[in-house]
Amino acid sequence: MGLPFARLLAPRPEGLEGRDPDFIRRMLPRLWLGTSLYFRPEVNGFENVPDEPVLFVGNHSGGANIPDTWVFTLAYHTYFTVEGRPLAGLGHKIIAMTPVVGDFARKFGMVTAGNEKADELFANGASVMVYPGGDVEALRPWRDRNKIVFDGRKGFLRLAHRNNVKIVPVVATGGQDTFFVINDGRATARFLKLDKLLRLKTLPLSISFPWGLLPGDLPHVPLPAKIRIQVLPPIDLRELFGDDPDWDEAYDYVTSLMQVGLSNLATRTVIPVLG
Amino acid sequence: MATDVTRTVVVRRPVVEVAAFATDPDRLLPIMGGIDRFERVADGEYDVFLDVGTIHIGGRVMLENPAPNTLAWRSVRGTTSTFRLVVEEHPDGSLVTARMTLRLSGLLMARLSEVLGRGIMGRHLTAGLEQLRHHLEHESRA
Repeated sequence: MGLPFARLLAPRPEGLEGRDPDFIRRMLPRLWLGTSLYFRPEVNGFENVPDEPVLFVGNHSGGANIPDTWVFTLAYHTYFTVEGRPLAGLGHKIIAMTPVVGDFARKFGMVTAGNEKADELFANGASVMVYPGGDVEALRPWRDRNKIVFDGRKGFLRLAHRNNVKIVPVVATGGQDTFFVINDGRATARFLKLDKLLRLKTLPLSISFPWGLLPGDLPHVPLPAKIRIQVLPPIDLRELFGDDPDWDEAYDYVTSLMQVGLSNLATRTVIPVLG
Repeated sequence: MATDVTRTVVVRRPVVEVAAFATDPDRLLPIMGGIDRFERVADGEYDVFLDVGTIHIGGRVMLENPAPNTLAWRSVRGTTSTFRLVVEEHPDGSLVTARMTLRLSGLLMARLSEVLGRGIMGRHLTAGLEQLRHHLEHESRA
């Protein structure tokens, strides 16, 4: 009886030591088969990735499920192989601590986000994946599904610049068609003073199965939307903006470039959800 | 039956600069996202096709500048469509408005196709305008 509790309370690795190549190798075929049938993913552009540690910067969607993140992780491991350059996804500590999901994510390379941890990953030759928009982006309204929403967060630029690694932008469509966010609730969050009390900028209202109408989002059964992902050519911040960049200018450039990539990818959609 | 879509984008560059680029088809069409192929066939006459994943939609259009800071086309062959792009003053620079109209023959199926076409046109217009904005704000100044 005490075993499950002991396992829950056992310390969990916060770095790449939690990655389990044997587990990835074992799970990859079955997960890719299921994903291919359910989300019919199209992932292109991996030939743009240079053979060196890079910072993948993506837009992600789909609320708590973030199916496009999983699709990218699976696609990366099929293209570069499990023995290739390790991919570490920086995630929130809450996800890492969640039973089952956290264990699964860690074995696939999820690392608890942190500046020192990220620097260490690059020093050890790994590539890193970040989603600067976080929950604000994953819970953006459906009408903004093809918009880059990084909410002004520029830490990823400093991370790439400090470690002298290139940024490889990754854009994805379809994730926000797996459930529907009606409103981001920014005005409501401000009215209830949640931004000051709980540092919550948004209070989205979503519709998902089986929950129906819900404030925020819980893990849900995603609609089988077609997911498309495009890996864009790398950006060298030092080459473009020098040793002492204007961060606002760099942010403007990277998000603008990603918006163009995302809008172009969205033109492949004939009917939302179906593909 | 006809349906139309309008999309706008703010470009943080002066109207003169934006209009000079956006109303010149030989400069605009090569950078427009979603336009898979285009070819100048005669003076003011172009073949323009949108890439919609499985099919290409478009045909031959007559392009003209009917007013200052304006580019327009009307189709002469293929899918019946009109297009109008206008560049106006905006507090942050320029406001570019693109409007596209699609006309299909028929009743029920035409209506259904127009509903789908409306979404497709909207996404293509957005992609084109974003490409235009990025080009003028970042690439052309590099």
